[in-house]
Amino acid sequence: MEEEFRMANLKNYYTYIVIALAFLASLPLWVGGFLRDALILFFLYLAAAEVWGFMAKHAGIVSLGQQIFMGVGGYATAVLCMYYGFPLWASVIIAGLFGAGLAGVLSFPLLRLRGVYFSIGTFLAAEIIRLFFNSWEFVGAGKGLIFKDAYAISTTLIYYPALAIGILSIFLVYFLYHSKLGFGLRSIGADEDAASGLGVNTFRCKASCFTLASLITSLVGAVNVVHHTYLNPTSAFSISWTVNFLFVAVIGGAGTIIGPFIGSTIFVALGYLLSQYLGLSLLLEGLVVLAILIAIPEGVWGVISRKLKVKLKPPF
Amino acid sequence: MKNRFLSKSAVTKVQAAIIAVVIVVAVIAGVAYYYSTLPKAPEYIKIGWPVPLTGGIASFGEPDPWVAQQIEDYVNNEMGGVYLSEYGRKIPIKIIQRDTKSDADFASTVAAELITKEQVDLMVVLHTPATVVPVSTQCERYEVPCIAFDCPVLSWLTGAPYEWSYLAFWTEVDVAEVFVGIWDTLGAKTNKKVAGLWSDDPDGRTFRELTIAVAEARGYTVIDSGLAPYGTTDFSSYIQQWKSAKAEILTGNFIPPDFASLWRQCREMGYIPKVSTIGRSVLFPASVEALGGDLGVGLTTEVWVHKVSPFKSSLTGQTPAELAEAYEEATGKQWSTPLIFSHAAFETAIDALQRAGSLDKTKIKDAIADTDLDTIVGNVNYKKPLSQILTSEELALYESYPELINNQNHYSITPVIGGQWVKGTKWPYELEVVYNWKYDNIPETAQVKTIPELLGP
Repeated sequence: MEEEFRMANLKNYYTYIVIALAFLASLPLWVGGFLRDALILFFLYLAAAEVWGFMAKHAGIVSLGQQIFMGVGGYATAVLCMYYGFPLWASVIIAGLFGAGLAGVLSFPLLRLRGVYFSIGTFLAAEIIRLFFNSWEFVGAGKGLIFKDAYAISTTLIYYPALAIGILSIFLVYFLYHSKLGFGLRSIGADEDAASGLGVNTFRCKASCFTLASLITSLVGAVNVVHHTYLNPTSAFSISWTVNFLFVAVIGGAGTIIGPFIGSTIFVALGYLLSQYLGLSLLLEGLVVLAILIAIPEGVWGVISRKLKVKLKPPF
Repeated sequence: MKNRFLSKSAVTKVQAAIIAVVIVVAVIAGVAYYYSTLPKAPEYIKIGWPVPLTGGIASFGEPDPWVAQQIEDYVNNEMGGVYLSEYGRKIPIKIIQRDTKSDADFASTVAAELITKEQVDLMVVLHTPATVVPVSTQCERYEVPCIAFDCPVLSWLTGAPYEWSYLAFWTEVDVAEVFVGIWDTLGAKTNKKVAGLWSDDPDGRTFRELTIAVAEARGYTVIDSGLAPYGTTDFSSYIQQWKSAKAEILTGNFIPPDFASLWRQCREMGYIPKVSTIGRSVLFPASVEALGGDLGVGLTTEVWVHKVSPFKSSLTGQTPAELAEAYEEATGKQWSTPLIFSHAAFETAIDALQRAGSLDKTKIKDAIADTDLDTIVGNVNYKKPLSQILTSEELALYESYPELINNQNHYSITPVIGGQWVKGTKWPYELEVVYNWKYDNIPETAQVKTIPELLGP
């Protein structure tokens, strides 16, 4: 019953969705180079924050190791394309799948840990992988790789995969939330022991969620390297990636689909804006985040929806 | 209905007035359009400059806002701008800085913003591979000329071959030569036993290879303790090894906090080598002071440029000493080498712009390639072949890194010499030039002394 209602509800919006998509698809054709750049960043951060927020808020999986997939996605793309001659966009997709596979494998040790232990575990896993890449001559060790094949790819062309990953992440979160797997995850998020007691296969649920989220993050890492062309273990596996995703998710409103839209806009705009305040940018960034977290812990979207009395069905 | 206010002829007058206004507006618009299609000189020449001003490597970028101000003031006020023959007049420059937060990925982001939003005509970038390499690659992507300084050449060549970017700095090979040269000047004062430990990172690896190769070739025995991972806190087993081997020379290349722990433990365990020649960790007065106590005394290191270097700015005519003094006076802070390199980068930029005489990116790039300029850090010339600069022995070492040979048209070698930190008069620590290697024109301000000599009884 509820299922039918939901689908009908969604159908009412099909026209709007198609118009919105057509608008987004047309954007790079008439906006300037800078805005294209900013929009690519916007969609990449949006996608990574959507899945990070979903994992953290609904399934209680607070990963501090998503930089693993940013790095692995990026490196896999560059290696496949430069060393093995794969077509560039095929490399991106394979890199995404490879990252998801790695997440599946990492689930076995990491998801045996719970709560804060899992968070620390993911962070340590990322550090280990960073150290490994730092001494792995095949990928240039600590000097890193420059993805020269991507110089020729225009930002107009990079915009579409970024947009696609953004949209994919929204659909993923939407369907994850409403699927059987999503019910399992939400029950785990509420109380893992109770969920387990009720017959939810908690490990399988969490591993599936972690793998799917990491697929998105790896794709984000892959497109990011096509965009920025520079890979180095220190920056590719930097905790600042996950901190940034957390920022985008929490500022907008973690666990909602609309929240990261706002969060990513603020984050990207703030990045450009603060880089002009020489010598103060990191300090100001920290202060802004703190101020938002203290003033509106439910995020910008939380406040807006409360004030305007907009009640959307979760996960929106 | 008869209008009391507007007679028939009055209406005609209004119509006539409207027609007249339309004609005038059309004429003005036409003239304006005609002039807008003529080549118009831009208001500014825009030079983009991503700088690490917060985060881990902020100490490199610290002098840069001052440098930007000084260069802008000088070029725009004293010189009246840069003369571009294409426009037949002088055009002021505008240096647009962005903070990279010491983050390589964010450096790409701001470099792209400078190119796509600010539409810079030229990019200048300095300070470590984490800033220079990502910015250079963005310049390659967007085909914007890029002048880079202050990034070891081998590290930079990860991104080779470059088309739009040019670097001036020393190579890792040169630094290894300088290190061993410092020990050579001590002659028989040491037993020629060298203890070596390096940070486990690209610089550490490269310097380990090179230092061992050069030292062994000159008759030193190296006790190679390998690579230490970041954040190592217990160095006691290494130190014990060096003590029992009676190594009187200690060398390495570390991130500053790791060297600080190592050097403190050496003192605690009573291991005071006669010479301690350390790369990267003790470049700046602040990092030497941060060691605490008298631990900074006598440390030797690579020096990229010194106040006494006999060079002069091609722009302002200042010597390194005058520039350092102006900086210290204006900011109250002690000078450091990046200050002088940042200045040199803009000398090169202004020179290239003048010779290009245009804001066409290809013309600027070609002008950079043709640079032959005596700057405040030495001669910058990307075209001079290595065979003219290096001795055959040095060339043989260079040849073990093919990228150094293959890309020699994109980098220019600036002098690197050896320095020693001693207790200062104006500042807690000051740097003496103790070894000028092959650069005889750079005066040595002191002789190398062993650490026990400097520490006294």
